[in-house]
Amino acid sequence: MILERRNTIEKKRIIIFLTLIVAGFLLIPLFERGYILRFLTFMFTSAIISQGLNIIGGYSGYIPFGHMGFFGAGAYIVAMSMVNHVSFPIALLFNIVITIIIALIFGYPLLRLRGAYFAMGTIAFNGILKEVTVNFTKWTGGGYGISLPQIPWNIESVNTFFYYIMLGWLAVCTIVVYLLAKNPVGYALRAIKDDENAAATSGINTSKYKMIAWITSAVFISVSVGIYAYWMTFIDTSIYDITPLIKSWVMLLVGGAGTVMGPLLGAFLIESLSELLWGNIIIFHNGFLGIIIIITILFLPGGIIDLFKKQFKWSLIREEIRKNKI
Amino acid sequence: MKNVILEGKNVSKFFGSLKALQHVDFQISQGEILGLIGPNGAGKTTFVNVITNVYHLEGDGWIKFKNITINSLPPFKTARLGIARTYQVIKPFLNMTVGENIAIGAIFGREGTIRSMYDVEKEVERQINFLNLGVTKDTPVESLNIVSRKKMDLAKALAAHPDLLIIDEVMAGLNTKEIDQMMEIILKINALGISILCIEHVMKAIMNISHRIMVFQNGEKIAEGNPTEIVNDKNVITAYLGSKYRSKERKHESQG
Repeated sequence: MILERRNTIEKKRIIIFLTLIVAGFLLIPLFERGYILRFLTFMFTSAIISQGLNIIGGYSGYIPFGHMGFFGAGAYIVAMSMVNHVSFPIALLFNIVITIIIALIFGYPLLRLRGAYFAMGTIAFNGILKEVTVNFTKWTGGGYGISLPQIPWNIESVNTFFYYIMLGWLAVCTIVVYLLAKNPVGYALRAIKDDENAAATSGINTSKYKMIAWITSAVFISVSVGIYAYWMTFIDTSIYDITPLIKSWVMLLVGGAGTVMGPLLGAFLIESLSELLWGNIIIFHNGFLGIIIIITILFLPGGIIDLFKKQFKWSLIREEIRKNKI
Repeated sequence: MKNVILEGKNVSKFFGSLKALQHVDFQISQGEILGLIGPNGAGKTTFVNVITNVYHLEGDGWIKFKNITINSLPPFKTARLGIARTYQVIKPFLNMTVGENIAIGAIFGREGTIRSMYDVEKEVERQINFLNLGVTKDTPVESLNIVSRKKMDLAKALAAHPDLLIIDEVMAGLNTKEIDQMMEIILKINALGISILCIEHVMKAIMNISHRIMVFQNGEKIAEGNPTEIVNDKNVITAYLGSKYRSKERKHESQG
């Protein structure tokens, strides 16, 4: 009874805290519409990608290393539609539909693989999409890339526009993950992560839930990269590069995989840190970032979110460290 | 003769040249406790995996559950028809709490589709009380000892409301007192009308709770009958029990 009451008080606190943060982010463009806004928009993009990886990698334990394929799909579908005078919202709608189709086609064989083989398989999937993009020069521009139409507004309005869109999509993604985690889908995915055979004999249709996770993560990512493409107004095949994906993985692990807020926390910390370090210590900034990441993973294997779960109590953290024999 | 709930004919499973199960015929009636014993490597766990369709059958064998042929179904559909199982090496979902583990059974097992999350929580509480788990639903699984883990595994299976429960060596690693407790629990589950297939090495337990016993050796069924028949069966004595067990039983009888 007391515990329940404490839980509801805690819930209220969390809700108030989150509302304040969201309100803060909503109000920022009133004061600042330049560098910080662009930085935050970029941070939101990373957070969405991280959230996309979270639903499949964090919850179901399937590690996709080829999700750059969906970066490319998202960016190129939006770019090709908009070059052909389709409006932006319709282009995003196309993006969602085609991404789901691509995810279904590739997901069916890929999700039969497990562990490292699945990771390798998704890299092959990325390779296929990249080859298709490079060789269908007529539509994709091949190595020249595609220039998207620009919005004929001043730079500050453009910044604000993309800031709100990206923030909105991030909110949608996070709410979707929150709802999935609370419902049977979340239970099924976590069971699959622990033991897929035991999950199946408990009555979980593993193929179905893995497909749900795969498609959800694909749509999160491809829409965010689609918005990103319109923001940047130019894309080429370098969008299939693995580096941004690895960065989002790091954010997920540092923030806390398999939690709703972990990826957001990770994205915020890593992006701010790398921006600060890059601005101040240009020579060794990646090295410092690496050190910080290693320290986090050594002392907080569950991610930064563990600090909040343990309410910053040193005794609890020490216990966790001892358990991991560091 | 009671209703037959699970029936199999010519059940075989080969791994390459190894014949794990050969031409086994079996029946389990409604409300019955069927014991399954045999030496290590006799094919007992393979038998369970075949029933739950983790492995699929060879040749023209078939298994029917409530008159539905189940041997070509995927594992999750078999579970939803009303077959629940526990594992020899228990496989709790370690990153979940006790309540969440049991909820998996309630959400995805039989009748799972018609339950709301509210009903699921009710069901979890009910199972925790029914099995006297002695912990709250928010306890992390990691902190449970082996008995509680085994009970939790049973609770998860029961939360699905199965018609047939398959228990794979639930007594292994328990002390005498805990074995007595577990026997009580199994009888309590059976009293709900649930048929039970019980694999066990602990003779005291299996002889006391089973209505009927099957004995496997090298993938073949070498004997079947009620406990007293099994104890006196020549094949079983040479293959599994050993003459010592028989004389011990006799002594016991003459004393009693």
